[in-house]
This record gives sequence, C-alpha cells and structure tokens, in this order.
Amino acid sequence: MSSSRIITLTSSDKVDFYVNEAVAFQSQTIKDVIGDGCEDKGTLLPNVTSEILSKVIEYCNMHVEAGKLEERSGVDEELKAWDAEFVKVDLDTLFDLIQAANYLNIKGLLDLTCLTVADLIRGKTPDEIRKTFNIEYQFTPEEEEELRRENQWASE
Amino acid sequence: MQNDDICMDVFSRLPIETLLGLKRVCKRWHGILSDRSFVQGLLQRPEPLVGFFFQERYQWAGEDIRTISFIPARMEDTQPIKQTIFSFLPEDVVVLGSCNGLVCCRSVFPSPSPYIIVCNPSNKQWTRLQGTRPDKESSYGLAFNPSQSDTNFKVVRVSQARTDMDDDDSYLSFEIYSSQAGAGAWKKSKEVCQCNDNLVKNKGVFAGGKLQWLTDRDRILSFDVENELSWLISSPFPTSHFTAIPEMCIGESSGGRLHYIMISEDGLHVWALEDYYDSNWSLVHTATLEALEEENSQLLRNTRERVSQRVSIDSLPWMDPLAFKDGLLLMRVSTKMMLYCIETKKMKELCNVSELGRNCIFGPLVIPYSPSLAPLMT
Repeated sequence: MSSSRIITLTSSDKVDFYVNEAVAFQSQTIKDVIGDGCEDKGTLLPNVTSEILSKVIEYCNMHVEAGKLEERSGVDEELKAWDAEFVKVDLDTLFDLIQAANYLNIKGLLDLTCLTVADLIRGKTPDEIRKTFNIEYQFTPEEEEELRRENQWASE
Repeated sequence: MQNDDICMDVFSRLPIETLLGLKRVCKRWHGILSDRSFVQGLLQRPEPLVGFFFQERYQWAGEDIRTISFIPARMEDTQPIKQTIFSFLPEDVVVLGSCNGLVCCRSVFPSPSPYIIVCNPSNKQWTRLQGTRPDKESSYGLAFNPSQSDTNFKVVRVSQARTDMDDDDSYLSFEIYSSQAGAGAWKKSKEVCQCNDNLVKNKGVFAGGKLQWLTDRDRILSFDVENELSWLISSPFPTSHFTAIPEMCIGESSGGRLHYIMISEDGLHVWALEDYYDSNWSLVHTATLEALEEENSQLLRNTRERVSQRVSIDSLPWMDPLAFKDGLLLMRVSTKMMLYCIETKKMKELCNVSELGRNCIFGPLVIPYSPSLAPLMT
C-alpha cells in the first residue's frame, strides 16, 4: 500500500494538479474512483475550476499534515484557527467550495463551509439576509404581514 | 447562486427557531423549508430549549385560569413574554405537557364538552383526541419520540383509584392513547402502581423513553411508555435532613437523562439519574447559596437567610425551582423569574411575576418547550 503515489487531478479549465495520494484521498469520490494500487491515468473534474481546486487541495494538504503530527496539544486549536481564515472568502467562492466539497465528498470541508454560511444566516433579520445573499424582495406587504404572524417565536 | 441541495444542507445546521424566520426571506426558501421530506429529515435532531410555558392555577377555586404565558429562555438577551401562542386553537386550554415540539392540553373547565388536544405551536396544527372526557384530577403525560418514519405520539393518563374505602390503599392506573391506533384509541393498561402520593410538580417529563412525575412524598413516578411498566424512583437526598424545607423539581437534560434539582439552605444541587432500578443518582452540579450570590450579586441578596426562613410546608419558598431542561433551570426568586445556567453558574432575570398574572405564586404549571416542525395532520 504505497502512500507516496502521486495522483493527477485535472480541473474543468484543463489545469493539472499533482497531489499526494493521501491528500487526494481526503475526497471519498476520488478514493472510490481511483481505488487501490492501479495506475493513475489522471482524473478530470469537470465541475471544479482550477481556482477552486487549488483551494480544495490547500485544505486537504493542511488537514493531512495536521493528522500526521505526533504532538497533539494545541494542534486542534491551530487547525480551527487555520480553518477560520481559510473560509474568509467572498460568498461566490464559498458556494463554489461547498459545491466542490459536495461533489468530491470531503466531509470536513463540507461541514466547515456549510457551517460558515449557517453562521452568516444566524441572528440576522430577513432584510439583512436578503442583503447578504443578494436576494430580491418578492413579497407584497400583505404576504409579509401574514408570514410575520405565522412565526410564533420571532422576537419582532 | 445556491442550489436547493446546498440550501437544505445549510438549513439543516440551523435551529428550528431560526428556520421559521427564514421562511420570510424569499419564496424559494419558503418552499424548501415547507418541503415535507426536508421537515421529516429534521425530526430526529435534538432541538435546543427556547422557553417555558407558564400557566397559573387557583389554589382553591375549581375553574381554570386561561392565560398561558411563554417565557423565552435566553441568556444573551431579553425577549418579551408572549401570551397569544395558543390563540390558534379552537378554545382556551390548560397546558398539560410538552415533548419534542408537541404540546398536550385540555379544554379549560367548566366546559360542556371538554377535550384533550395535542398541538404544535410552531406550525399551528392541532388535533382533538377522541374517546375520553378529561378530568381535573388525573395527570397526563405526552410521549413523542419522532424519527424520519414515525411521527406517532402517545398520551398517558394517570388516575388514582382506591381498592376499597381505605384511604391508605390507593393505587395509580394508566390509560394510553396512541395516535397510531386512530379514533377512540384509549387503552387501559394492565399496569398499576401502589402509590398514595399526589403528582404535583413537573407534569410528565419525558426522559429516556419514560414519562416522569415528581410526587409530594418526594419520589418520582416513572412510566415506561413502550413496555407499560411503572416504577417509583427515590429522590437522591432525604429532605428530612434540613432545618428549612427545601424545594425540588425534575427535568430532562444531556440527551434523555432525568435530573433532580434541589434548592435548600445548603445550596443548589443537581443530580442525574444513573441507574433507574437502583435509584442511583450522581451529583452533577452544586453551588452554595453564598457562591450563587457572589456570582450574581446584582440579583441575589441575603439568600441564605431567606431560604432558611421556610420552616413550614405551607409557607411559600423564597427560591423555587420550577422547571429544568438541557442545563437551564427556570426558578422564581421572590417576585422575579430567573434563568440559571448550571454550566456557567450565571443567573439571568427574565421577568417579574406580575407580568405573568396576579396568582402565579401558588403551584403554577411550568413546562419547558423546544420547537419542532412535526406535522399533526396527515
């Protein structure tokens, strides 16, 4: 079971990325497709651009490295801090990362990115949410009033 | 932009309280949040406590008090009391119990045709249970443990009966209503429990698959709903040990574990039930009255003196634990309702008792509530 095999991943815009097997296998999808030991002829990822793929690989790299460390104390906090910085990106990139994490089946990245969006929603009024996510206001004042009354637990 | 799958994944990480507000953002989100399979997927998720229902009772008069207050339980900010939560029901009710988002109640008395109603205040659905006229003396408990495929609930009615005219020989009998069985579905259980106690506080706490009531002889009546077995659990600490009379309550926390809270001259103690049949409790939290006062000096003064003054069971406790869920205790301290977080030992003033009505000092019904989107209509 070689752990130093290099896997080739090709983004939708035809850029090749060479990654360690351990890093590539953070994606359950890639792990399932490539399998054990057989020669890798390169994998095309038609749903992921090079910009996003490079970020995904950055995430997987960091988490593989962190997993290797013998000395565990402080690693978890550092990793959390790194993750927090990693997701400080614009909203479109964040959604692209969610899509990629979903397609590539990378649980940690999917959890991290979805939680980040959830945190952007939590505690905001509907108006603030519409602004954040660039959503058009669609309801009539009557509809808005009806919806407001429907929710028993709202603070306003 | 986001597709529906991403939306659903993100939404599934937010509490129900937040999700209900998101329906107002746009039509697409409203659609996703109303989708039946999405709602079903959320049912098994444990929901945080959002507040307590509070309904006063007259000490002597036969009629019921109609006002039900909802006290939001938030440590970070203060939200106002709401008193119209149940206005979607066809009649005024008395709240009997709540479990995983559903609430069980009965028509207020006097009533020409009283009913037991099970409802969900989060989606305003309700259903009347056919088959038995509710009475004021019996105790009721609601058992609801939803899964993706099973949204059935059970209501248990506990009644006291005497074997003959001898007052000391009374026992408790149980009837069970199952929503699965359909109309007229009350079934008398073969199980009985030799017990003279009155079920006084914390009606029908559902923990670990069992409905539990605190009795006036400081025991806990437990009823295993699936297996129809009753059991009497002893309290973790003899109350006779104290000079001043302590006050207790029970509640569920830490995923289905029954907890027992006692406030006495020795302080605030919380036990968790370890072994059901041996009445084996472990002390999980303790704080002396002095420590509570030091941590919350703005809210508490002369605590020990006031708690120690209660030497008669007829006098009202100055500090009264009312209901407990998920690490949060609602208690009355003098004329204020406080929320106490056992993890941080911090107390928060929620409201004044006068906001809840004029009679609330004596034995009110206090029921913790966590919302759910569980449907009641098929």
